[in-house]
Amino acid sequence: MSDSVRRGLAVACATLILILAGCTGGEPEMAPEEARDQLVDVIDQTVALFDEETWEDILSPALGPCSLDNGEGVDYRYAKSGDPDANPRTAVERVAALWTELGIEVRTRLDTARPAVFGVGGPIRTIDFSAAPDSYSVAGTSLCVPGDATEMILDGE
Amino acid sequence: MAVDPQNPGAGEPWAIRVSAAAREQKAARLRGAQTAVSLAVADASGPGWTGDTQTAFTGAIATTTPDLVLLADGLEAQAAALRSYADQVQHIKDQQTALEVRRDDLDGSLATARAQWLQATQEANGHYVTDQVAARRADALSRDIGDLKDDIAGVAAGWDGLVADRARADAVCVAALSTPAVLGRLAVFAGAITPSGQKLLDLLTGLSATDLKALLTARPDLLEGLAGADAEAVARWWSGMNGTGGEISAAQAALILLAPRVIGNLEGVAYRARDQANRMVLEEELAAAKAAVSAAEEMPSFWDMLLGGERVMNAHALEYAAARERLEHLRGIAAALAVVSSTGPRSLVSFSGGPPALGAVAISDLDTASTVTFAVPGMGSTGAGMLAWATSAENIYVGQARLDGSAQHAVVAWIGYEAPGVPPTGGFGVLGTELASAGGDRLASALQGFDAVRTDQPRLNVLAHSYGTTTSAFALTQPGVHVDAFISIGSAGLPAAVTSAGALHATEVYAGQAQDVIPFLEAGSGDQWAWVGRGSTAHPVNPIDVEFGATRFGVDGGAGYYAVTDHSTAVSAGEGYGYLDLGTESLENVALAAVGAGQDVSAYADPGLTDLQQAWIDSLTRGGAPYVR
Amino acid sequence: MADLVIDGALLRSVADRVTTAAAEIALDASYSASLDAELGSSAVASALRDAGIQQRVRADAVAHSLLEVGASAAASAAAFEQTDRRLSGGL
Repeated sequence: MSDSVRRGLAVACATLILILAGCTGGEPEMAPEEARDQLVDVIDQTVALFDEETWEDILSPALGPCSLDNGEGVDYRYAKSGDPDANPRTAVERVAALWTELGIEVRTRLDTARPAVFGVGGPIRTIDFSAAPDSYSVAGTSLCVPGDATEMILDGE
Repeated sequence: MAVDPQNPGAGEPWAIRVSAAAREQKAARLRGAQTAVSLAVADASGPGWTGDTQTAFTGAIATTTPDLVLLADGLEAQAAALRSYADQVQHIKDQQTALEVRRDDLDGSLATARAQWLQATQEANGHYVTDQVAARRADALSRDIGDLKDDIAGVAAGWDGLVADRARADAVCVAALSTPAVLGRLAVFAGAITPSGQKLLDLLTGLSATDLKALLTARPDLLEGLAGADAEAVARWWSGMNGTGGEISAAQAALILLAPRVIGNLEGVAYRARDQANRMVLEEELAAAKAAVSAAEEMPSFWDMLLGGERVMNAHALEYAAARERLEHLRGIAAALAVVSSTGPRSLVSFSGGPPALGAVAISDLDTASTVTFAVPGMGSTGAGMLAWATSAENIYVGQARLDGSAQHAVVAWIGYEAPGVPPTGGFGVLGTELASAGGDRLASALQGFDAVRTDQPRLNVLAHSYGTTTSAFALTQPGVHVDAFISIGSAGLPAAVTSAGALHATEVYAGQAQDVIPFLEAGSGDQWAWVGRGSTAHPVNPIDVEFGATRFGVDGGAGYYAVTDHSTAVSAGEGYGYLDLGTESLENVALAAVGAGQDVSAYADPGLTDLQQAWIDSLTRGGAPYVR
Repeated sequence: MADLVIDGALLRSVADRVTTAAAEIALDASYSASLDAELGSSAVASALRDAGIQQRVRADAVAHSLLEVGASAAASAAAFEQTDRRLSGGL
C-alpha cells in the first residue's frame, strides 16, 4: 500500500470509532472439561490410526484464554508427534476421513513434500495433521467455552 | 554522626563496660563450645567409627571452625575496643564536668564583676565632679572582667579540645570494631561505602554462603550496586559459585533469598536462579496488592464523605480502580507462570512489580535450549495479558517442535517494556517512538544478557508483533546486540532511520504481513491496524516492502493453512485467525524461521488493495461518491 | 555398607556433645541492639550494630550446621543400634 493511499485511508478512518471487533461463535453452554475432552478425543483417535507407542506429547492439554461474544472464555491446545509410516499421502487421507466422520470440516494438501490436512468445526475449533518425512504431528485448539482462565489457574482446578 | 558539641562526654561508661564484659563471657562460652566440638571430633576420629559417614561428619564440623573462631576472636576484639573506649569516654566526661563547674563559676564571677563595674561607673560619673575612687574601682573591675573573659575563652578552648578528643576516640573505636578480626572478609564492606559494578563483583567473589548471608542481612540494599555491571562479568561471578553438577549452591541460594529483586533481573545470572528469585518477589507483590485492594474497598469515613463530597468519592473510586488493575496485572503474570504442560514448568526470567508490573515468562528451559526466541508483543500489552501472550509463545514452541523434534526450543513471552495503550482510551503513544526506544533499551539488555549466560552460543531469535517490531528495531540497532533471526509480523512500522533490513543486527530478517484492511468495515479479512501504525511519521518503515530487503513470507493462507484475518496474534471462537494461532500459515513460517529453516518459508504475494479500498481511492481521486458495500 | 566400624554408644555421645555445643552459640538480640545512648555516639553504635547483625547471622549458621550434623550422627547411631538389636535378636 503506497504512502498516499495509506494516508487517504487514514484520513477516512480517523472518523471511525476504534472498537476492537468482537468474535462470534464458541460454545456458550459447555464446561471447560468437556471442550478439552472433545479435543483430546479427536487427537487420541487420530493417533490411534498409527503406531501409538511412538507418539508423545509435544504439548499436553494446556489451558489458555480466549474471548466469546459476551465475555471471557477458556480453551485448550494439545499437540502430539510420532513416527511416520510408509505412506504420508495415505496417512493424510485416513486422518481426513476420520475427521470428516467426527463432524469436522476438512481440506487437504497432498501435492507437497509435507502433506497435511486442516480441520475446523464440529467438536473442536481447529486442528491440523502434518505428515513430514521424519515425523507426523497433530495439533489442535478446542472450542472456546465460558470461563475465566486466570481464575481457573490460580484459584481452582 | 558527629560528636554532640554540647556534650562531648556523652554516654555511660559503666554500661559500655557491662557490654564489653558480656562479650568476653560469650567469647569464653564459644571457645568452650569449640573445645567440646573438637574433642567430639577427636573421639569420632578414633577406631570406634570409620567410613563415609564419619568422613562427612568430621568434614562438616571442620567447615564451621573458621566461623566459630572468627566469632570468638571478634567478640574479644570488640570487648577490648569497648573497654578502651569506655576509659576514654570516662576521661572526657570527667574533664567535661570539671570544665562545666569552672565555667559556671566564671560565668558567676563575670556577672558579679559586670554588675559591680556598672555601679562603679555610675558612681564615678554620677556627680559634676568625677569620683576618682569609684573610677579607679571601675578600671580595676574592667581589668578583672578582661581576665575573666580570657579565662572563659580558655574554658571554651578546652571544651573544643574535648570535642576533638571525642571525635578521635569515636574514630578509633569505629575502626577497631570494623577490623577483619571482628568482621572477617566482610571488613572491606565496613562503613558507608557503596561499591558498584566490577568493584562490587570483585569484593563478592569467594565469599562463603555464611559471609553472604551475614553481609546482606546487615546491608540489604548492597547488591543494587550491581545494576550496571557487565553481563559477562556477572556470568563469570555467578557460574563461579555453581554447585556440583550446576546445582544452585548455598552461596547462590543465600543471594536469591536475600536480594531477590536484584538477582531476579540481573543479566548474567542463570535463568533458573532468576526464576526462583522472581517467584518470591511475585508472591510478595501479590500479597501486597491484595491487601491494597482490601484497604481501598473500605469506604471513606462518614465525615470525610460529608465534608469532601464528590471529590472524596471520586478519589476513592480511582484508588480502588487502580488497586484492582494492579492486582489484575500481577495475577495475569502469576497465571501465565502457573500453567502446567508437558513443556515443563514455565519460568519467570524477569519481573519487576512496578507499577506497571513487567515480566518475562519462558516456555521450556532458557539455560539449556538450543534455540531461544524472544517474543515481543505490541500495543496494549500489560501483565494482565501475559497469559494470552504466553499462549502465543507456546504456539511458537509447538510449531518448532513439530518441525524439529530433536532439539529443545525455548520461547520467552517478553512483556519487559511499557507498551503504549490502545487508542483512543489508551492514549496515542503508539504513534510515537518514545516507548519503543525505552523498550528497545530493555530488550537490548535482555539479549546481551542472554549472550553472556549462554556461552555455548545457541540460536537466538526475536519474534515481534505490531508495536513490538518498532521496539525491537531500536534494540537491534544498538552496538553489541546481535541475533540470528528477526521475525516481524503485523508490523506497526519501524523507526524512520531503519530503512533496510541490513540496518538491523540480525543475520536473517523475515517479515509477514496480512493484507491491510480498513478497521471495522473490512474486519475479519486481514490486518486492520498495522498500517494505521505505519502512518506515523516516527515509525513509517514497512518491513514487507520489497525495498526493505527482508525475506517476506505469506500469511494469507496458502496450501491449506489458515489465513490471518486480524491484526492480533490470537483470535478466538468463530471465523478468524491471528498471526500465531495453531494451523496458520503465519505460525508455520514463524516456526520455520525460528528453527533455522527460513529458506522453506512460503512465498509472499502482495495482495494489493481490496475492492473497497480501490473504489474509495478512485472516488477520492475522481470526485465521485465513495463506493459502499 | 558405608561404615565399616561402628560403636553406637560413641556415636551417640559425639552427637550429644555437638548438639549441646550448638546451643551455646546463638547470639541474642542484645548483640545487634542500637546502643546510641549508652555509647554516646551514633557512629560507634552503628558500627557495633552492623557487626552485631553479621555476628548473629554467622552464629546462627554455625549453630544450624552443628545441629544438623549432630542430628544426622544421632540418626546413624539409632539406625545401627536397631540393626544391632535385630541381628542379635535373630541369633
